[in-house]
Amino acid sequence: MSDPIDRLSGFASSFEGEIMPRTAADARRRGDTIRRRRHALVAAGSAAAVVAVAVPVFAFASGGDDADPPVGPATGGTSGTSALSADNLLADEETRADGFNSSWLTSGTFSGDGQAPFHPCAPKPLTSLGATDVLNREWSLKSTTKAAERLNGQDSLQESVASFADARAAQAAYDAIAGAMPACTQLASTFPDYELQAGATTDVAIPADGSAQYFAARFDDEQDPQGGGYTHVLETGLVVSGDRIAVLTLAYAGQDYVTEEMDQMIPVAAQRLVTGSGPGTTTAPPTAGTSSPPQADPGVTTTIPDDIPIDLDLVDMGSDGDYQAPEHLQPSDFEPLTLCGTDLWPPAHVDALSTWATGPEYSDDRDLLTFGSVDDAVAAVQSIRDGLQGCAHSNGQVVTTHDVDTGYDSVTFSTACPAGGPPCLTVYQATRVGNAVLLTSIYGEYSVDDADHVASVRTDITKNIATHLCVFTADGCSGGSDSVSTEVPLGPDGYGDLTIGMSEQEAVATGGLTVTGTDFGCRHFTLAGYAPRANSTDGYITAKNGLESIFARPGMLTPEGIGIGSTLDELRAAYPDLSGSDGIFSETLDNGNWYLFDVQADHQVSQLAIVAHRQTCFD
Amino acid sequence: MDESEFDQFYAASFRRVTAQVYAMIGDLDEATDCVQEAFARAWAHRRRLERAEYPEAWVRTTAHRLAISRWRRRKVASRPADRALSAPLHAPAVDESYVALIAALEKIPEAQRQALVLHHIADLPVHQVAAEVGVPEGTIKARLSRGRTALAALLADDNGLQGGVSHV
Repeated sequence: MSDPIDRLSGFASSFEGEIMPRTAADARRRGDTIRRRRHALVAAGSAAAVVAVAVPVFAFASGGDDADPPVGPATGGTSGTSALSADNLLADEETRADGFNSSWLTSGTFSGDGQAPFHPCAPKPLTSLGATDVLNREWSLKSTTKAAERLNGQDSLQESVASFADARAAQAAYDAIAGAMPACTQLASTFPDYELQAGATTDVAIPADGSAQYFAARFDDEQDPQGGGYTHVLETGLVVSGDRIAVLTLAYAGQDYVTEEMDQMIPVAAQRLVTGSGPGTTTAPPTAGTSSPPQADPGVTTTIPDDIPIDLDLVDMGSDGDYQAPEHLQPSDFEPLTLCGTDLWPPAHVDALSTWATGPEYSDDRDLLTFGSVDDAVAAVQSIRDGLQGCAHSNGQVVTTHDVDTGYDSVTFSTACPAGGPPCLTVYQATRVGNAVLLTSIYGEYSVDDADHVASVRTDITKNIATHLCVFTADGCSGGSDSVSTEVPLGPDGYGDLTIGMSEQEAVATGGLTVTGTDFGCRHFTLAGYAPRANSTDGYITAKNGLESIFARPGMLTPEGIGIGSTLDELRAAYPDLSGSDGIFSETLDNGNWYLFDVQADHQVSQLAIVAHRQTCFD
Repeated sequence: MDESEFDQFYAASFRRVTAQVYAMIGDLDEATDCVQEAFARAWAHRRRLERAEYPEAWVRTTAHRLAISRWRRRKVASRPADRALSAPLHAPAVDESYVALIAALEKIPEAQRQALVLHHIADLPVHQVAAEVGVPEGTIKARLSRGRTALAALLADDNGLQGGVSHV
């Protein structure tokens, strides 16, 4: 069997029938863990996105029967004189950007053909295709977690609507545009790899007479052999109804298709095109916190130091999401949180530091505000409590206040999609330390039943950040702290009374940990004094090697002063013999154990562990 | 993609992709582990996967990248502190007759190996190999040609040694 081709071909078939080491259910469980881990590591204030999920995609404002009848063009479809108005374009709240964990914000509405083509594949301007009236709207992507607008030139949404002399002319223009999609000569001349995804071109049902199509194309594919890489995606929604057409164009860069937005926007665009009114009601959220900042009491710290780690344990999802390092915000930068008609956040304040991270189906948001006096801060937390009184439903969501003890002056509450709908949950926790109030929020695809658990995870983060807020207390930071101790080092032998290598029985006997479960022979545990974390463990114990590893919690330091949040430079200074790459570093110790450090793209230690010479539980 | 669709996809593709990744990286345990992880990620990203043209290619590519990064980490004798709660896997034993093949594959340049595996083991047409690797078809053809020649030479040596004939 020397023919290499035969041997290669036979190789694959030699695997058929082999026992699979794990089942598909195992893979799904692990996959669910990956999703949850993203969420649990942090939640969020993308209230707008949550609302978007909760509101039916298509609900006629007039209510009525479940089976909404198709709507005909207002003009009868053939009059050729129907004037277009901005109401024929999608409104901001009707656009969808869930896949971006964001929302679209109108950046311009204009009539006529304009300078730029209405679509990258457009063979001609709309008027050259026979349009008698053209209206366009462009949107930019912004964060839903902060009003601070972050434009990304690669992500864009545009809609053009046009009316024609008659339905036949509209249909001809529709056909011309659809016909240009496969070759897309204009775009392909610059990007020869432009390719319409045949399997992704579909007819879309619309609540109006006429027809609609969806097209997906990719171009400028840049795959990185080291992983990652991205492509440019062009999604198009095309609608014709009577003497009008609508063209929706969504362009973005990513690793793959990420959006289902077009499927959802096309029917709404069709209704807008025909009736000039959208399916939902629109109410602009009131702007909170725009009053002039109050004066500060003398001796009270109101300027937030830049090194307050409000981004503790905040996970940067890299290309899978957006990440905003802590920054000082102006009151107008905030996305107000309004429940039951009451503005809960942000209250009038003096200084604000904010950070957030978003990723697929999750976002995490932290705001730290300072007030001119402790009394003002107390009042701010109390006004949140007051606003939640009797508020059980708001914006189509279930509002719940949770009884959570953070050890501080706190209020914890959640908003969740109603039962029977898709899972969505945002847990908020406002905590006052001195004259400062920290609001954290995490959004994820949880159900309302998970709220208590998510809240406990968040409490852990709140407590750890709160220990750094002593600067806002009357005692300052010199006094005793009620934080979990940072004095016990994560040392070469272990942590506190827990010694690497000791048996499970010995470890439990120290009282330093609680065993929480077993996975493939590896026991998980939670360190004493810390709240358990979702889908996570503080280390592993096996029958063979005993206590194999202990992972640091935020605030725990090695004797050399390295902990979560330490910078790579600090790490290298503390351990000159550090070895590693790809963000994973280790330091082998004299006793054979080793420290393991996971350094993220931001050059900060995100995970840290003391690990036995031999360990078998993680990779 | 719902659970039953995923389970079908898994059942149909797991062994095949494992064999392919094994041939690419030369370590069956690692390949099995990485393919398992890639399927988990596929489930985690199932909404994206639904729109992927070739889901199996997505899994294979993900697994291969995982293997590459893991291998690098292994070289520095440290492994990432992932709290994935994953445990060591016990991969199936490999037919002895293929051990030599894998050993020979390991000796040829990675790009040629990848082309051979995708074309001859994964059974992808050349244009699809080119798409997955991200290079022109002509390049793939050249890699296949050189790879086959190199592999034939290596396997000939191997057979000779096994037959007890010394080339020294």
